[in-house]
Amino acid sequence: MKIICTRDNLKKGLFIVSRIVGVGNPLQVLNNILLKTDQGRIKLSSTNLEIGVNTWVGGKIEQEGALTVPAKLINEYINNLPSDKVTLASKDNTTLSIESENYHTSIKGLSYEDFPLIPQVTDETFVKVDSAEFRNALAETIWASAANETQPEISGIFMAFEDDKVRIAATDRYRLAERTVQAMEAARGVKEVIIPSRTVTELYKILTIGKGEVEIYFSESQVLFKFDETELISRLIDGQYPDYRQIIPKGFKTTVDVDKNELVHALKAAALFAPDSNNVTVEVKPNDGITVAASSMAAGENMAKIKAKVTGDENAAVFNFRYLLDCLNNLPETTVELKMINDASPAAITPKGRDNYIYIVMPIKL
Amino acid sequence: MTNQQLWQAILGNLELTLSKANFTTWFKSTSIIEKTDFGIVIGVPNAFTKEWLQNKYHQDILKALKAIAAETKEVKYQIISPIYTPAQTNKEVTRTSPAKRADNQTLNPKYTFTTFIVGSNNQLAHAASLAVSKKPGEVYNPLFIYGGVGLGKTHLMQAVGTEALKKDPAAKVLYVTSERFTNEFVSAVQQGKTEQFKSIYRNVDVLLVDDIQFLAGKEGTQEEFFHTFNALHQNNKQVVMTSDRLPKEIPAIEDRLVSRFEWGMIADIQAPDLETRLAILKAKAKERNYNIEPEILNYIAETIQSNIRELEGALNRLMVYCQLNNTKPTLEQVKSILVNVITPPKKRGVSAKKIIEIVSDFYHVTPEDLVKQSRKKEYVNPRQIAMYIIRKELETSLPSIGDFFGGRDHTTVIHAIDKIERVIKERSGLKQEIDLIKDRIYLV
Repeated sequence: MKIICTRDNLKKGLFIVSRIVGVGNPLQVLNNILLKTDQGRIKLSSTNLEIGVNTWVGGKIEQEGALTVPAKLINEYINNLPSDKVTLASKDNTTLSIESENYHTSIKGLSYEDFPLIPQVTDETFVKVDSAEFRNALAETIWASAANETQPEISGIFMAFEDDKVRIAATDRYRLAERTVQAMEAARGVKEVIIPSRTVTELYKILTIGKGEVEIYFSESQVLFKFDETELISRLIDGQYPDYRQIIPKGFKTTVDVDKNELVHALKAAALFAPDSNNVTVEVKPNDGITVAASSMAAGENMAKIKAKVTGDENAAVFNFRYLLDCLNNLPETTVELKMINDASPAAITPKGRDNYIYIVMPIKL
Repeated sequence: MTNQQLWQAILGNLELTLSKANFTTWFKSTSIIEKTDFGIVIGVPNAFTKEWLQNKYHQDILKALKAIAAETKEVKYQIISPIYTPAQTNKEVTRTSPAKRADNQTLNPKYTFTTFIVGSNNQLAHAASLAVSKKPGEVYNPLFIYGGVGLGKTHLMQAVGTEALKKDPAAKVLYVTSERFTNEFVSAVQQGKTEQFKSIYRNVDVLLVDDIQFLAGKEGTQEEFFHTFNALHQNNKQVVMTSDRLPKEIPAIEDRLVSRFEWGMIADIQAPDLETRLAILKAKAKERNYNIEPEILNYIAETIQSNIRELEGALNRLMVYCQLNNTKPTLEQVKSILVNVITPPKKRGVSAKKIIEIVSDFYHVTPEDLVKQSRKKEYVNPRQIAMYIIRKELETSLPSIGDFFGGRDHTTVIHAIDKIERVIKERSGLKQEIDLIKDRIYLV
């Protein structure tokens, strides 16, 4: 194998594949990425046996071939390389030489024959979505899934495909984020899946480096995302996602329009005074705005008032400030709506002027 | 040959030709899920494994299969939903879900039905446990096993868990002592993680709770256990509990719990009879490869009567002594070695006066009531029991027992002892009462 390509092309490809490698797996080859010439381009692949990724980068192929090399090593090396052009050549079946202007390197690798075969998904495209829209939707939801995996279902991200809508939801039972995405055309059927949150996180990172459309495919317990020159394939989580829609309240007693940044500042200030409990009291009064307060025996106490347009009843509840900040930090809008019922019922945050997103958070009962 | 055996044989064959890393990566969590006359279907955990086996190892598998079962020609692969493990933390070769690993480590593999020795004393409990382990949640739910210390309650209970797991390796079996249940509940409350606590305990298929009597007096925990119990019972999940006494006799435990404990099946374990004790000793000696004269085993079985744990302890003590001195024990030596085990020091310091006090306390009468010349029924029965216990435990002479009880004649004492012995045979409740009293006597 002999390839000449630009450092930046290679860097982009390595950025995508180098994170998805096996950690501590006894099979050495899983820590490697596969470099392979493929119809005039270079194909980079990696897998941890749950997720597999293929990406293609452009370059000049002088000799066909394939080889695997340790992902971390080659990624960090290429990132540090000052020159523009790189020549990759396999010396024998196990060594990769990397030549550039002043840098001469050879990396020990393993034969490509031991590299796992990344499964093919052969079905037709299930649905297509715009990548920017899809990425924004993921940004607003995926952090809400449960971190701990005692309940596998809610550790993943739920996606429901209905007609030309994709409904994305994540919950950890204390909060819930739901976003609806307009697909580019109607999906080929109705389908509900749970995708591991690691997969979705990787997908999100891949979507940040390009524009275009995302094609989604399904086959036997697998999902495939195709975007740009990249394919991401992953298993699906087996199970029944909780019927979360029943916990979204039908109506609220109080609605507050508030500047997002002011609310974030007030919450961050209050957070300093709730180091152990994370409990922050939010009080809203018509004609008076929002009061955010927190206190602790050790730190002291704090109270901040923010101007806001309050419609409806006076209301107050205690929240985990992290749950509020998680949502606010990921919304692009400058004004948000905070909706409340009472101190024991779920509250909601929605962006002002957009109705495809809702965030539900449970107050803390003291 | 079962599917499992066949697959084990094939794996054994393949293991020789593959590197360890390759073998563990590609063949863990695989199994034969279907076998017909023409071929087999291999269940694999994910699409990667499927591709790999299909493309790389298909010939090897086929070859290994033909060597064992020549008539099969076809091998197919199918993805079966794996037991869930996050890839990042998956450092171990054997894949089991984290929750399951935590649950099952408390089951002692030694405790199985095959190592349990059945005698007339534990027949019922054994039969009930066996039935429960075959169909968890369907018969006798809950199963309540009660009996004295060291008689095999925990053994039976764990055997239920082990057997249920053997039948269905995916079953979630959780064994806890009631003390651990309490501690975990308390720390869950402290850390605000009650939801997590609930999700752990309410999502099991078989819940085994040991020494439930220790919930006595812990009201919060009792309430939590009550809800856990209801949740499991409603979903037809098996609950097994053990205790050292009947549910009714556990003090300071709520009535609603008592009635639930009595809901399914209550099985008792009594102290083993001589033959059972001998059988246990023989089994233990064989298990450890000890070569002992039958009359010595006989002696141990005769002298240690109530507790299997002590029986085992005596045997161990004997063996250690023999190994250290490199001798084969004679009966005389055995007697001197086991003198401490057979008459434990705690037995000393018990007096007839103390026994009378404890018996009268147990039946809510005063010691004077037992001594005075009254033939009221509520005094006579405790008095006779006290005489019986004094005679059996202290081996006091009949006339001096009579003296303790206000100068009664020794024939009165003989009559009392005869009567109690007769009633014990007729009514097992009385034996239970006497055992409880004895426990109290030696407790302090």
